Amino acid sequence: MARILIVDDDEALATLMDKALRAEGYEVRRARDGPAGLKLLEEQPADLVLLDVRLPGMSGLEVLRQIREQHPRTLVLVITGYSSLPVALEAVEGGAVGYLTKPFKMADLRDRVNKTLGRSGGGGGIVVKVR
Amino acid sequence: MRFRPSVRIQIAAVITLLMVVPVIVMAYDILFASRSDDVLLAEMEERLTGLVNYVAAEIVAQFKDPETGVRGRQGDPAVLAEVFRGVAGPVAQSHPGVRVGLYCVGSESILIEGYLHITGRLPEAREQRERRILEEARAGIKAVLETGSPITRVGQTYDDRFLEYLVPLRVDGELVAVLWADHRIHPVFAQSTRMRLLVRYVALAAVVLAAAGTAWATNHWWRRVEIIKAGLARLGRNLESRVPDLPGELGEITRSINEMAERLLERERLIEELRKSEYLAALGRLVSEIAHELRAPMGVVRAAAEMAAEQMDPAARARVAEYLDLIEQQATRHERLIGSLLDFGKPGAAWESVALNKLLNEVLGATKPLLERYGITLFYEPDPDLPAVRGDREKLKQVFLNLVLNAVEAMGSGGQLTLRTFPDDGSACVLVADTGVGIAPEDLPHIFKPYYTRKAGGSGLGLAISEEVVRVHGGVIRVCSRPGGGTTFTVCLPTLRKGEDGADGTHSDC
Repeated sequence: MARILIVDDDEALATLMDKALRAEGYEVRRARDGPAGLKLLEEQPADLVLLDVRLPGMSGLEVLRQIREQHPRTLVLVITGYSSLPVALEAVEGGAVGYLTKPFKMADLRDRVNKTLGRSGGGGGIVVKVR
Repeated sequence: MRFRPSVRIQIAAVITLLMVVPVIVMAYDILFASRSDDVLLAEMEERLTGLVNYVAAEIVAQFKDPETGVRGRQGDPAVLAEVFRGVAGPVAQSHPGVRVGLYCVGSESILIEGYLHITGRLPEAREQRERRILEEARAGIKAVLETGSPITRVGQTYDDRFLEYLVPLRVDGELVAVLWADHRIHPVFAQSTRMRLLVRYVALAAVVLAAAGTAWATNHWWRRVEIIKAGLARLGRNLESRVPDLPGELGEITRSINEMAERLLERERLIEELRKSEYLAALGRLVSEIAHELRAPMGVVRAAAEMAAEQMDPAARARVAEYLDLIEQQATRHERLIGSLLDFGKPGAAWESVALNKLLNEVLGATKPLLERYGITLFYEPDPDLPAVRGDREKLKQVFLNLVLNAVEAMGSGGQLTLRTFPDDGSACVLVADTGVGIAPEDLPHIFKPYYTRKAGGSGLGLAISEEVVRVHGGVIRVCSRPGGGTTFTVCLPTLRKGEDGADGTHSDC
């Protein structure tokens, strides 16, 4: 079963994502900021990281850089703030496989995660959603 | 407090001080020093008087002395001549430059001893000389004969002048002759007296003229300084006033002052613009911050409702479908509201010169497909001579985009959109008129208030934000509308180089 790490300081949104993905059968862990997320990855690697770019302390882009450096096999989907397309594009250039723009539907989230992890016959293609 | 005399008094004091010394010296010279000439003449006269009196006394004494053998013979010219020669000869010899003469009453001849010119003159026959001297002395002799008393006169011989003292010679009360002595007045001395006096008067006049001229120039200069002073005081109160132009160097000063004021004004204007654009930027940042914070929880609400719906069995979901729809609807409305705020919160650019016609072309370019889709006819009448305004180009563009979109919404399908630009008393104005539903009179006073909207799904922020942007640019936005009669918005923005104290905002007038 694929392992997913959610790094987001929005407790409510993280809880919803956690529940939605668990319902899909994924093993989900959560961290509230960059250092905590990196520590969890040290302890046990993950297949996918859902990373909010707007984080307290260390910026999401910096966390992304460190994940790509230390865990090259881990895929990263960034969750960008509202209407911040430039940051999203920067994240994709920095090695993220794609981005989700808030607000998003949980159905969209499940869809994206499944496709990214190569499930439900989506062929694993990276879909970049532009709002 | 210390006494601080004005510059004018100081200058007057300096002029007075400078003038006092030469004027005193000249006055002294004129009143006292030039008297030295008179003193010299007086001395000469005294000497002549002494000599003549001595000679006269000697002659009279001889005629009175019984021992000389001439007693009582004064009537005889030959005797008189002899006595005269005996007395005057030695006197003339011992006083070079002094000439002693005697005229016998009733005769046409005179006797002369001594010479006026020590070096002598060209040889001259004795008789000829005596005739000449008689002619020169005749006026004095005549005067003495008529008055019977001594006189002093100045006579002329050739081009020389001489001082002459004449006395009547009386023996026993009988006037027998006129005796006189001459002394040449040196020509240099005579000329220099006049010359010196003239030079002194001319110099005094020059000094007085110079003083008067300096006083006049100072006063003239001072009046101009007063003009500059007054101009600077006005400038201190109002940077837009100017110091009057003056000729000459003071004019250069006033022009420099005016240039400085111009630059200060420009600077003040730039600072004001900077302040406003910073204000807009800060406001924008704050609004963005708030909008982001407001959006996050609503996203969660929406997602939570979505998940709740998913996990319900179909029957339960059907029962609450209406509420779920409401949540969905309101979340969408909320997001639109936030969207308006975020548009406004976009970082502001530095202020620049903005040509409104060009800006409107861009706005119309962007909205053209929309106008076509709704079948709206566009009348665009830009004034080609419209002056530019200063401001945040993007924000202004948003204002007009907003007005055009409002117009389109008000008209729905069909209708006519009129855009016109025109200058108006230091402002550049844009008129946006539609033929739409119009605004109810009771709504009209509130349309610029935030969150006030009559449109389904409207944020109520469009006009409020537009009004704020126009206000920050020192402009005015007016609206004129009648229900069913369409709506006309007029935005007037101050043109370049105009005061920025625009009216406080909005008017409703038709």
